[in-house]
Amino acid sequence: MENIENEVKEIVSRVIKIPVEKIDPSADLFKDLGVDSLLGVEIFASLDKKFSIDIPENRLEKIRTLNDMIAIAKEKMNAK
Amino acid sequence: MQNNCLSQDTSAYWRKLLKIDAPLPEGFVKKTDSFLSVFRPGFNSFIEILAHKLTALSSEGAKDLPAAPFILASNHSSILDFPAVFFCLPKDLREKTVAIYKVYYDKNPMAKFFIKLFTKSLSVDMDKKPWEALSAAATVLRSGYCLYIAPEGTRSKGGEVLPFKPGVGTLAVETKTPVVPVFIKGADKVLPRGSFIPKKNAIKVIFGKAIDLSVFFDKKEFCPAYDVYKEAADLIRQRILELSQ
Repeated sequence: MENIENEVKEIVSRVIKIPVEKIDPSADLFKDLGVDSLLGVEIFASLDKKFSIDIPENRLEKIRTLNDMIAIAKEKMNAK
Repeated sequence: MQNNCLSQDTSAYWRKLLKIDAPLPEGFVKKTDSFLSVFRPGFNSFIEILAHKLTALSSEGAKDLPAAPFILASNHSSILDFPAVFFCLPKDLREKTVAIYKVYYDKNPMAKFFIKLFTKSLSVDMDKKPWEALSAAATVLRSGYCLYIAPEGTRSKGGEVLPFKPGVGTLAVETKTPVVPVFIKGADKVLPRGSFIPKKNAIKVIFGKAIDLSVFFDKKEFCPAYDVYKEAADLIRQRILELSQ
């Protein structure tokens, strides 16, 4: 599970071009870190690629923080 | 080819979100219209006469517009921008054009009434649900209709052209639709942001040649898709700026 957490952090960091250690896991990526919604989709696509998790469209808008992304990755991986 | 940046996956993901490969929903464009369309011919004729009288509305390049579907992308400095573009389109294209506007205007009954009276239109929330907004826009294009977009996302002040949002690039590249750049000159002098009383001033709408974005279709095979979309949006902005000179 820790591995998933690190991989999600690495993906987000790479897409938004901010070092992992500078991302507050509870910060709203869109409001606080200035990530635009299209870059958000790039993150979801990367998570989908890495973990083969298909996040339902109606949940995408509720995923706002790094912690949210880690939680959904863990949830989807557990469900497999 | 080595794909380190996952751009093909992002592109595939976008195609899924935009439902590009799904069957076309029946009557989608019809749903962008309202019962107010019965009053449209009379209302628009009146507004068109008024527009020509008050603003000496003129245009350039309208005769060279391609056949539908295509994206009309313009600078945005006034609420008069879309009406100005609309009245400069050949009449057959007016019937084939859908305008996109911010969901924010749905909260203003007066604004919503006039938008719906004026044209076929779609309200979108690009901040919270960009996939829904772009999927609806892609469906309009796939239905053979043109789409009017102001990629700055908001009205500028003082005639400046703000940076473009990358969504127009996503839409154009993923649907492989040509984009016609449009520069609107003078609308900000007639009714600028924050003003409610129109002033007399000429408005000119300049249509550029359709931009060939095919270079970006291949580019997204080996560059981050987001960067490709942004680059496409920047090119569209550049072409609009060129029309302003």
